[in-house]
Amino acid sequence: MTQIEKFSYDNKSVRNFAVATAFWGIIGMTVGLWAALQLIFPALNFATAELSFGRIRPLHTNAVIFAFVGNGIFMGVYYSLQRLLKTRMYSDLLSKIHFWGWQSIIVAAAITLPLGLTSSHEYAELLLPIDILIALIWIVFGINMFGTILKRRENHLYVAIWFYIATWVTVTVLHIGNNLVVPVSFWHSYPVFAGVQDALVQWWYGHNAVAFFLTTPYLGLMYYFLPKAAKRPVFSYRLSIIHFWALIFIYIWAGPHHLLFTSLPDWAQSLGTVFSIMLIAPSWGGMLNGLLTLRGAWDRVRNDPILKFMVVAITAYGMATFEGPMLSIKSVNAISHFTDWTIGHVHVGTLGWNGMLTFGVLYWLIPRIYNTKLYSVKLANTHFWIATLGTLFYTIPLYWAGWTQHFMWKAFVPEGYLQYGNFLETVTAILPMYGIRAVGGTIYLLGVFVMVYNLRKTIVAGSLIENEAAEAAPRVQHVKVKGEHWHRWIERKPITLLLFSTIAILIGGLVEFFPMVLVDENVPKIASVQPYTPLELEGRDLYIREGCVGCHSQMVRPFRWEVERYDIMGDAGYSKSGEFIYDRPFLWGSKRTGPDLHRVGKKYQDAWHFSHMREPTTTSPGSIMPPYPWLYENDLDVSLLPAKIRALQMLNTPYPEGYDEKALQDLEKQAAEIARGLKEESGYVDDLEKKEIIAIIAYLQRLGVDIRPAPAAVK
Amino acid sequence: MYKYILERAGDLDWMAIVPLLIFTIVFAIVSIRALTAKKDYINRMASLPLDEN
Ligand code: HEM
Ligand code: HEM
Repeated sequence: MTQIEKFSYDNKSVRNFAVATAFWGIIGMTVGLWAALQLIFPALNFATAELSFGRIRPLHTNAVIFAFVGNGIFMGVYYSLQRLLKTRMYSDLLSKIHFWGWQSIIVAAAITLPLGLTSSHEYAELLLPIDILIALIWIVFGINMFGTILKRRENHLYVAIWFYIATWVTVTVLHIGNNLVVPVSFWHSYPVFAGVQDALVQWWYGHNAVAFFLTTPYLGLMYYFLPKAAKRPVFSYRLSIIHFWALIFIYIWAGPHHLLFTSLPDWAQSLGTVFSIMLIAPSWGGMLNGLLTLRGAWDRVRNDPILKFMVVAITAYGMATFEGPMLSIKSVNAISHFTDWTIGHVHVGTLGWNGMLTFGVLYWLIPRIYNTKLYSVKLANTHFWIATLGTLFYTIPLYWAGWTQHFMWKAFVPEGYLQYGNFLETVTAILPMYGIRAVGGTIYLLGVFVMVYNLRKTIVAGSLIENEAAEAAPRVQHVKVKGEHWHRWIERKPITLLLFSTIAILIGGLVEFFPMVLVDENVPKIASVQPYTPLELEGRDLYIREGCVGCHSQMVRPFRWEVERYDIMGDAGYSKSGEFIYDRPFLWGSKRTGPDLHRVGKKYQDAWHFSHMREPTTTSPGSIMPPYPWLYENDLDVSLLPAKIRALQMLNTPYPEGYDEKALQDLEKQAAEIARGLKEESGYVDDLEKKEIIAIIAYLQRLGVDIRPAPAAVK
Repeated sequence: MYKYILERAGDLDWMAIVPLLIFTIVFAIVSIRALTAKKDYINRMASLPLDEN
């Protein structure tokens, strides 16, 4: 008999992450609700820059993904890893640094995003200094996790841990890959890749942020907490092995399904479609494995709110992963892309899968680490129904809105004109749906408050077992026997597992990128496409700061109904990849709450933009776009201009040599010209040429102009 | 619908075929290994979350 060792589990870190999960959940969803309300009542931004939709939308997504789900992941990992490996976390100090480091990143995000400090890459909006902090804290988490794995008392690594390992590796690779930038100042930088390539890298990242932040770690949690809550082992461990390898292998390739019908080369789009469709198999394998774990225990599901949350979570996972592959089929994506269908899909996944599983785990775990019983099972049941209802009220109207919008966008009258030529008609038509969505969001959020109350009562009734005593035999080192099972060998060797998962995810990434980056012909050049003027460049950076990309796409897809609507002059056609070669970052967008802007240049007079940006309803009655009064008060900050020009030159933007010194002159000249035009027409304020609005107008008027045949293209 | 998907599949060039092949091979190996693993090993692994204190 081997000596039994005594040790303890660290529950304090688990508790901290749990509290943070609930706290940031409320904050993140409140911001989401607020964004939802602004879409119906634009006045709710109080004409304040920091509160406008374009800035709080990324605040919502970052808060719910990285703060709510992020802390949820850490809570679950810290709880399950220790118990599965029969050892305490590797280092209490690292656990502390991890916890407080992550919270400080979130606080930094909550401050910088409303200030308009954003990269505009979806789900990677945070800027370089914060990115570096994220990398450091992520490495701390990695060391703590692998340290724990190395000092484990249990030889075998349960499948949940593989999911954790794959998550860690992939997020590391993604985070580095998508943040390759050339710094201009402390905050500001330009991405190394431009246009189509930037888009490909971004959606390789963006897709896998969904896959490896919202999915794989949560599957790990499912494989641990579901058997715990159901008090029975997972339905099929064999299936879980196949699930794991197939999932991480395929997931990484599917990124291009976010870029169907865009200027991305066809072969890359097809690859995305094929792999996305294949994803159904492992995803549903995982879902069935989860649901079948409960076979014969359905009577318990009826009474146990925790199991109910888990069942609905897994079902929502199944729905989202069935819907996702459908959305990857080109003919379906033609409908869903840019509409609220995507938003509906997103929230089936996030409210249903991530939200419900988080709630289930919280209800299961809090009473245990506080050595007590849940304050009220009845309230938890109530929460379950509220959350389910909220999810339905949130998502169903958005499907309706998405389809309505699409069919209005593409409706033609028999004479061959667009039936709803005014984009605004397609917006006002779906406002009632937005209203119901906001109700759904309110209900869902209410449920979270009910949970917090219930857990708070539970916590007060119990007392935290900071260090939970445990005992186990020390690990017996396995000697490799001849002919030993391959899989046994691999799961015993965490480093090998790490290596294999890294190889699996790298193959996918590399196959996608290398051809794009190396093969020049993938992005055909267009001779008339020129770099932005300094004023336009500054205007573009303001467009990014204000988060215009959250509502406006810059990608006219090759459909008759899109070309007809957006190519007003009828001479530019759909968006070509060669038009984006100076776009750092690319700004194609993923949601068209407002119209596409890629062909908006010279569509209107400067004066139209001038009135529109100050109060959108003056030119577009009924518009829900927020007003931007501050652009008319702030002087344009040109202090970084020379550095920006130099950085872009370094990235091969063909500005003439020494242009960094002359750029300001050109900027002032162009600004003065625009301002003169505006003053003549309407006698506006003094110093107009110095204001930010001039730069934005210059940028908007440039969009899509270069590709038009001369004389419009003469710049 | 399936016809459309199949037609589209014709657009794949070698760049897309190679990953598909690699995946098929990996998938085959993993499946065979998982399905032929010994019963007591599988049972022991599956019970890991449950057998702590
Ligand atoms: C009370 C609950 C919530 C409300 C009211 C809400 C509301 C919103 C709104 C209004 C948008 C912008 C949609 C648009 O631009 O048209 C949005 C986007 C988004 N939300 Fe939520 N949300 C909630 C919960 C969550 C949760 C829990 C998550 C993730 C865990 C999440 C993830 C996202 C993501 C990823 C997007 C961006 C979608 C895209 O760009 O395609 N949301 N949400
Ligand atoms: C087999 C699994 C899945 C596939 C193949 C898939 C596929 C897709 C597709 C095709 C889109 C639309 C892209 C576009 O037109 O722009 C999309 C968007 C999205 N999906 Fe999924 N999905 C899957 C599962 C999930 C799950 C489980 C979640 C959440 C937990 C999720 C979250 C999202 C988000 C956040 C977006 C919005 C991205 C953006 O445009 O900002 N997906 N997905």
